[in-house]
Formats: sequence, structure tokens, C-alpha cells
Amino acid sequence: MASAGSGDEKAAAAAMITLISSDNEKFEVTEATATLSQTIRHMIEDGCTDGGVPLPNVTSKILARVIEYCKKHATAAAGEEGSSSSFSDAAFLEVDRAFLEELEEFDDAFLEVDRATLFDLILAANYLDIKGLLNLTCQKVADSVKGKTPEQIREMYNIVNDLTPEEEAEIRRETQWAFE
Amino acid sequence: MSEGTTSPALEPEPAPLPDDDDIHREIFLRLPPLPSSLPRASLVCKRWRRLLSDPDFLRRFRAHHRAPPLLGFFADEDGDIEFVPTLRRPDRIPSARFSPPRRDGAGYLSFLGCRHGLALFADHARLEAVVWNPIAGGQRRVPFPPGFNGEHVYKGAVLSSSGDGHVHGGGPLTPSNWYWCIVLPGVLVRNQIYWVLFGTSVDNLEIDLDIIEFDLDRQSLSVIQKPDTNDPGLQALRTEDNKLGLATLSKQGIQLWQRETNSDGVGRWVPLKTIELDKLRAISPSMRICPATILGFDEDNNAFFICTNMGLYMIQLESLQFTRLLDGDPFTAYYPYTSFYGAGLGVGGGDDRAEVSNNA
Repeated sequence: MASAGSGDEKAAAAAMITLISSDNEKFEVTEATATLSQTIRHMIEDGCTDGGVPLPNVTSKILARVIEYCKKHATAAAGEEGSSSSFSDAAFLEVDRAFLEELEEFDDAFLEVDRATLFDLILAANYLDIKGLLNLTCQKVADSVKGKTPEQIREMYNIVNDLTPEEEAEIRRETQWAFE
Repeated sequence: MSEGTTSPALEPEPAPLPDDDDIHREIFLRLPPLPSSLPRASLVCKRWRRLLSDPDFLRRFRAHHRAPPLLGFFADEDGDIEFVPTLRRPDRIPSARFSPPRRDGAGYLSFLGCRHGLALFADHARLEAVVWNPIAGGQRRVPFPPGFNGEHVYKGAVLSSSGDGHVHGGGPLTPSNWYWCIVLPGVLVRNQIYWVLFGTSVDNLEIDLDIIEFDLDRQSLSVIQKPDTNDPGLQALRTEDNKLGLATLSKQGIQLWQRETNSDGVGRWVPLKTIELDKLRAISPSMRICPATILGFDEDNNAFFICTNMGLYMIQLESLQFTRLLDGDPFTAYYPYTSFYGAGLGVGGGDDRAEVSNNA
């Protein structure tokens, strides 16, 4: 996507953007990578990215990971656009499938992080409004809760049970079968 | 309460979830749509309970998952309705959890089908349609339109869109010397509901089947001829292409058809696939499987159900995968019931506001 601000084709193709982390580290990324973030896309559209985009909520450690994700998925999006024009060609479909598999592998490997990093990635994805990354990271947490009892969930995430015994009894009474 | 006091001695404290309601919601949305998911999570702490029992969250949860899971069947044995769960623990909702509307006195309550988490009955004594929300427990009665004779209400359809329940009912069509009735729940394809119409001539020498189409936009009825086959067991369904389909029973198995319409609006039936029931034999090689009836179609999960001498099976339309659900009894009518299950009271599929519209 060309930025709304610059009409120059050459500039659009190679447009670079500087992202600045909370600890003041600078990251140069292409516009295609940066605009996976709706927040940054809007900033570009409003023409307020000159001199870099400060991201006071994201540390350099997390921003580097977020950029890694966006780079990979921006390439995927570009690849999809390129092949969709000749979707009837079986060879292209095969390439698509291989690419999707590769992307899935990338995502799986990407999620191999400790819990604190995972939560930081969720916060960054939410703040930067990167739908794919938010989905990926939140799904990981949701999956970790799957099939667990309330006690196990509390232990996993260090949650204090502040329900009154009456509230707890009420929930159990209404859906007793779910706890058997 | 008890967990907080016994902290593991050596391991570092696990990282807490971000202190942000939006992020909690994003995670909860992605919990599996199974019935135990939200009740279990709501027992974690006050915050989880508050977020999970919010009706707005439930709307998003339903939208995120789109297709509600099959919870089980309502079995109708001569008017005695019982829920038969098909999921495993902890998602197995006991029969006693759902108490269907009871027939009062001599009145006869017949089960007409389920859709969008609601079930529909006809009360023949009081000339009313009864819309029941099994999960929330509420029911609403809607009088039949004027001119409807209680004995002649065979089928109706309930549907809920954007929270509204609507009931559509149909009486018998009696052209010349034929009796017609509808024996299976209808199927919603785009904005039309299709029922299979079963007809016998007065002298009982001929039997005929056709499909009746009710257009929800135009509020009009029309009849579609069945494919040119004598195979019994017609079931309307929605194909992968979002078109009207049909399943018929044959000696080889189940034949699937699709309705194709040309540019002049003229429709014809095209054979789509044959499902060989021999595949079922792989499960039990020594027994011969005889399909008895097609029970219905799950619009949400694109599957249909058949009753055989070996039990009740679900067949996925795309993959043609068979799943055995329960033993089943050939003398009982089974109605598949799909719905989401929320946390807290009064949360389920549709709501129980209803109105009647009738053009039959």
C-alpha cells in the first residue's frame, strides 16, 4: 500500500519508517511491514510519521519480536496478492499451500516464549492493533486454559479467588455438570 | 480461597495476566465454544465472572465462533420429550438440565424442531405455537393465525436473527384428493426454508414426495419437484455451495443432490455424491448396516444425522466423516440441538421473543 501522503511511486515502493521503542531504540522497517499495525497505518495516513514513530508502551525487546512477526506476515500478504491473479494454476496453489505451512511453522515457533513475553506481545499487539498477532497470542493463552479446572487456572496465572462462598456455590449450582 | 496460601516454595511467581479487561475479553473469546468453557472460567475470580456473564461478551463469543456445537438431541417418544446428550464430560449436559414445556391435561404437544438455540412445539389443544429456550428456560406462546385448525399444524420453523425469534407455520395443502404432510424439520438456505412434503393419495395407492419452499423475504410458498428417483428418505439440506441439497436413501447408501438453477431461473437436480454405508462397516465388520431414516440436518455444522440399526450417526457433508453418537431407538424421533452455553443464568442460543407469520 502506498502512503496517502506520498504520490511518488518509487518512494512508495521503498518507503521506510522508523519506529522508536520505549527505551529509545530505533527500528527501520518498510511501510508494508509497519502497516500491519492499524495504529501505525492511521499515523501514516495522517502524515505524522516524520522523525519516527515513538512507541512508549513497547520495549525494544518486544518491538523486535513484533517486527519479526510483521515482516514475515507482510511477505505472506504480498505473496497472496501476487498469486491470487492466477489462482487457477495448480502450481501456484501448491506454492500457496507450502507458504501457508511455512507460515504456520513460523507462528508455532514464534509462540515458544515464556509467559511474561507472551503477555507483553499481547499488550503490544493490542496497542498497535495488529489483528493477526493479537489472535495468535490470545489463542495461545485460551488454549492453555482449555480443559482446566478453575483451581488449575488460578494456579497457572497466579489469580486469587475473590469470589464469596455464596457466589461460588451459585455458579456451581447452576452448572454443576461442568465441574464433574 | 485456599490456593493463595499454599504457594510453591522454589518456583518464581507465575507472570500475572495483563491488568486489562479488553485483553481478558480477547482471550475469553477464543475459549472453545463447548458448554463447560464459560461456566468453568467464570469460577476463577470476580473479574472473570463479571466479564464472562456480560451479554455483550456473549454476543461477541457467538459471532467469533459462528457455529454452535451439537449438544445432543431432543428425543420425542410419543410426545414425551427428553434431552439425550452426545458430548463427553465435562461438556455433557444432563437430561434433567432441560425441562421441556409439559403438555397439560389432554392436550397434545408435538415437537416441531430446533433452530438457533430455540425449540418449537405445537400445542394442539390451545392452538398455540410454543417457543422454548432450553438453556435460558423461558418459553413463549404464540397463538396460531386465524383459520388454523390445531389438527392440521404439522410443521413450523423457529428462527432467531439479531435476537428476535420468529415462528413460521404451515398447515396442510390439500389439492384434489391427496393428503400432504411434512415429516422432517425444515432447512434454512440463504433466506428460504425448505421442507420435504410427504403426500399420499386418498386411496393410499400412491405416495409422492415434493419439496416446499418458503421465501422469508417475499413471504411466499412454492413447490419444487423432487429428483427423478424412487428412493425413499428425502432430507433437505444445504450444500457446501450454499444451495439447496437433498439426501435420499438408496440400496448403496445415501445419494446427495444439489439444486442448480440456470440463467432463466429453471432449476434441476444434479447428483452430487454417493455416500457408501459400507464405510460404516469398518467400525463393525460383522454387522450389516441398514439405514432406517434420515433424522435431520445441522445447518450450523453442515452435517446430517441418520438412524440405522447400528445406532445414530452424524455425517459431515464436506468430509463425509461418520461419527457414531448414540444407540438410538427406531421408534423415537430425534431432533438435533445445537447451541452455545454461556456463564450465568439466562444465556444461551436465541431469546424467546416470538411472533407468528403465516402464509400457508
